[in-house]
Amino acid sequence: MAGIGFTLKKLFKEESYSKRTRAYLYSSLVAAGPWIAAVLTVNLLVFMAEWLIEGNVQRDLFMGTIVYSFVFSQILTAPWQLVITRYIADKLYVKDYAYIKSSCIGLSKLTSAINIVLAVWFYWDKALPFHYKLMAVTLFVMISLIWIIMVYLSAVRDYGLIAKAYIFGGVLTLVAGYAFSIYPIPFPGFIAGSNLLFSYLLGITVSFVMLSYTFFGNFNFGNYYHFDFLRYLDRLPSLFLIGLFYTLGLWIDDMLMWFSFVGVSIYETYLYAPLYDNAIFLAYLTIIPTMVLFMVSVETEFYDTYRKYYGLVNGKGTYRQILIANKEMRRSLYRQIAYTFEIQGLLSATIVLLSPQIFHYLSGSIIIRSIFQICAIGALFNIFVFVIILVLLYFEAKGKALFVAFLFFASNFALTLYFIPFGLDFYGYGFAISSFGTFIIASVIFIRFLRNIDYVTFGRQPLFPVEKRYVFSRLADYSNRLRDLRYRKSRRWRREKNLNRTPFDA
Amino acid sequence: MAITLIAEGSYPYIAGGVSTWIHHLVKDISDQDFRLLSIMPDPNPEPKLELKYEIPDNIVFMETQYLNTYLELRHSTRRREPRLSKKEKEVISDFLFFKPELDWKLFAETITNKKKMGTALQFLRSRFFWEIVRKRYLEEFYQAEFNAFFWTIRSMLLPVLHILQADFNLETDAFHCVSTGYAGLIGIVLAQKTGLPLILTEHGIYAREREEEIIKSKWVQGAYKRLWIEFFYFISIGVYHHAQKVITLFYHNHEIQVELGAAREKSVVIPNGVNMSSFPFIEQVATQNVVATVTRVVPIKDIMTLIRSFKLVVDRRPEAKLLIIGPTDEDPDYYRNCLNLVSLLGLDEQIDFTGRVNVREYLPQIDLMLLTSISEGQPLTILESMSSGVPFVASNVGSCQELLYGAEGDEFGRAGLITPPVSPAKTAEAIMELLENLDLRREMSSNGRARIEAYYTNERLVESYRKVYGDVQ
Repeated sequence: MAGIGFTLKKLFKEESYSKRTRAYLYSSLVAAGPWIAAVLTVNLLVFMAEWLIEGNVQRDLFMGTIVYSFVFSQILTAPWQLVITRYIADKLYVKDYAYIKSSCIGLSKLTSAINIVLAVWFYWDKALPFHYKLMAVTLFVMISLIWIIMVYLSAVRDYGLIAKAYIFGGVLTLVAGYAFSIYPIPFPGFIAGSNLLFSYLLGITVSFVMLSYTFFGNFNFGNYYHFDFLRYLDRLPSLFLIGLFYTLGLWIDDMLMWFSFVGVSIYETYLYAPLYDNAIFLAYLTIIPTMVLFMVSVETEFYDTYRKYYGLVNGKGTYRQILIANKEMRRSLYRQIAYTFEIQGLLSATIVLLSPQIFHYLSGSIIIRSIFQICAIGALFNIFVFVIILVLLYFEAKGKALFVAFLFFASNFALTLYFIPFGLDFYGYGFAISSFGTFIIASVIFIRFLRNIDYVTFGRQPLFPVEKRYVFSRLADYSNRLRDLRYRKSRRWRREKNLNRTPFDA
Repeated sequence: MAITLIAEGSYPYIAGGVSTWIHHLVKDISDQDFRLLSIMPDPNPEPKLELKYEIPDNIVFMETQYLNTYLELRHSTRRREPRLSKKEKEVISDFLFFKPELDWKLFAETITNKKKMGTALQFLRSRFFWEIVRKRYLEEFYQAEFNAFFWTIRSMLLPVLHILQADFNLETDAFHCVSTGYAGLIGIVLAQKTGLPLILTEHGIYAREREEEIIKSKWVQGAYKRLWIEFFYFISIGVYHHAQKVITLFYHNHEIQVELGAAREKSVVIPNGVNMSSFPFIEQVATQNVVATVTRVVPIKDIMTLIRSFKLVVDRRPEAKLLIIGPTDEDPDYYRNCLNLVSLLGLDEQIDFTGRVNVREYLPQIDLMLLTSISEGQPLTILESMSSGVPFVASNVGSCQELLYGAEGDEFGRAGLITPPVSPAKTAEAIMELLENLDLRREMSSNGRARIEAYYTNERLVESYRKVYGDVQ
């Protein structure tokens, strides 16, 4: 626990209330990393392959594999993101560092087990050669593991190392892609697609190894309680559900589109809607500035006022001081959000207005452009829905955050379904209106909540601590006990027992 | 007709002065039906609750309610505001402001109504409660830490609100609480709710005792000691105002009760009584060099001071013996410390911890009895010694002086000597004076017997309470 351990402690050592919640933001921010890396690497790879190889490069097959792997692995791992972030923060706070590495191993095992079963079940009866299926399953599991390790690395906050891992992986993918375009591996069937997938798999494996190395290098001792984290599902089930609904909400409109008439089936394996998917992918890229801007503003002005407020609340503040700190905090928060919204709004508006030129330059289709325009507006509101969820979590308003996440999911589902029959001109409206509506409702909830923050901070506190123990805590205990038993039986235990024996014992 | 006795932290689970008093009262008024409501802090304490007394037959019903069963309540996620009319809101607010002019009848009806109030947790997490507490803070405590204020008032009220919502059995004819405090609050609320009479017998002045405890305590800090102290005074004053009879054991406490607001015309002194035939007179003889104390070995009795003073006695009279008669298992740590002190002072030969024994068998061989407590009500051991004509040396706490020197208008003379509390030298001096002076002991012996006969007989006690119970009908 040398260097990074030290900064970690500095990061988390302050008041339990405030600093631990801040970790949510970092983990969300870091989660954007794999997306950006993937979009860049995959597009460059395909572009290069099409340029080098004459004829069909089986791009659709490759893209289908990538999209499915990313989307479904994210949906399956995203619910854990907030839960694990909190678990890590709590364990760091009480200095139980060993649990962090162990939970990473445990969650990786659990996710891999589930995802392998799901992937095998998905590819089982598909008309693809075995080697391709094998690589696709591996890719799916590998990306899932990357999502998980990213959550853990967000606690380390070494963005330089993370970036390096993706750059190395990306470069390796491109080098391999170049080599295999010229000297393709003679796979039995789908040679071009298989080579693309193999190149990408190579790169992403290297990225994963580097990320793991960074993490395990910092947390090099663990214990045997790999599944101890499961008890957090009892304690904070809302965090799991917030992640689940928000991520499902992000993809539900796409999935519904796959089944609409713009949906296409690739080798009867992947159903997707390139028109819509591309548009919304691009739309999501436009909101990256908000993430960065908001992080910077949270880091600077808002966080100081927040810490001051909770410092007075938990410490010796009189009510008058608390009221003043409260007003300052709210004012700063509103100002930061408004400021970020102005900049992002301006940016989104510019992109939407300039999109004819941009799309012309990129020779994109008109249909994608119109869907992109409406989706970019939707994404603008959507990212602020997310910002509000995060800020609600800062104030431990888990119930309200969950309501907002669910509202987004449900309205996106319903509205997208509603607009599909209206045809292409209305594609994207479901997502945009849902994002806008959720944003308005979330803002009202948020402002009303903050107006009552004093009452919530004091008056709503439970009067005594209650441990929530349901099925997952029992599972965690059971797994811990099993581990203890096995450990005691193991040879290692015997060896250690002998080692600990002193001459006086005899 | 039945009287419900409300006892807090005592009968029938904890042995002590108040419990023994209840036990004798019930046994002696054998033709009166009693019901017992025992208030205890914890349903599952360590060691377990067990009956310390054989329950007399005329206790026809017994229930125990606990203060901290609120731990079984659940925190609901949804906020629930109390559903109260304007008047009811005002009365709850008056209660939270500890206003002595509170309308206790409306308060009793409101606070016990679960449908209106919600559970204690729901109430203490409501906006209504928050607004009142905030108001009180801004009026009275605005310079103090708000967080501590809020939690103090919350944790103070949680057990109170919870226990007031318990399902009390109300098939009774009158309530008789044996202290103010939680028992008193429950007494006043149940009496006001049912319209039945309320009688208070206070041994020590509850609010005063809590005040002393809180001032010394570490678990309440700073400005919030005031809040706790005010709360107990508020309850005491409420009971003094609304009880039909306010009784105490001796005049000193009586005056405090009146001072705090008990109307003089309904306040009376009914002292403890002793059964004189059980403690027959013993002629004082030349010194046998044995002194004794009858007490539980616990810190409040200050056995340490007793041991130290006895050391000074032994220095001058090496043949003297001290018997410490009574249970030693209540506070094992303190008992161990006492034993250590005894060895340290080299008194192993001279001091004997007898444990629980029959005092009457020992009395003939004892020259004088001792008590060095820091706090007392009206100790039965003094009454019993006086009945047997054994002179007493007691510290100046509770009614010890009243018993040994006589209250105003009592001409019987001294029955022993009063010493300042925590004063080994003065105590030793008093012991020596009595040991060496047979005439003085003889005089005190007969004085004591005479005073008991005049004021402190069991018959008098029973007669007085019969009259009290008859009057409130």
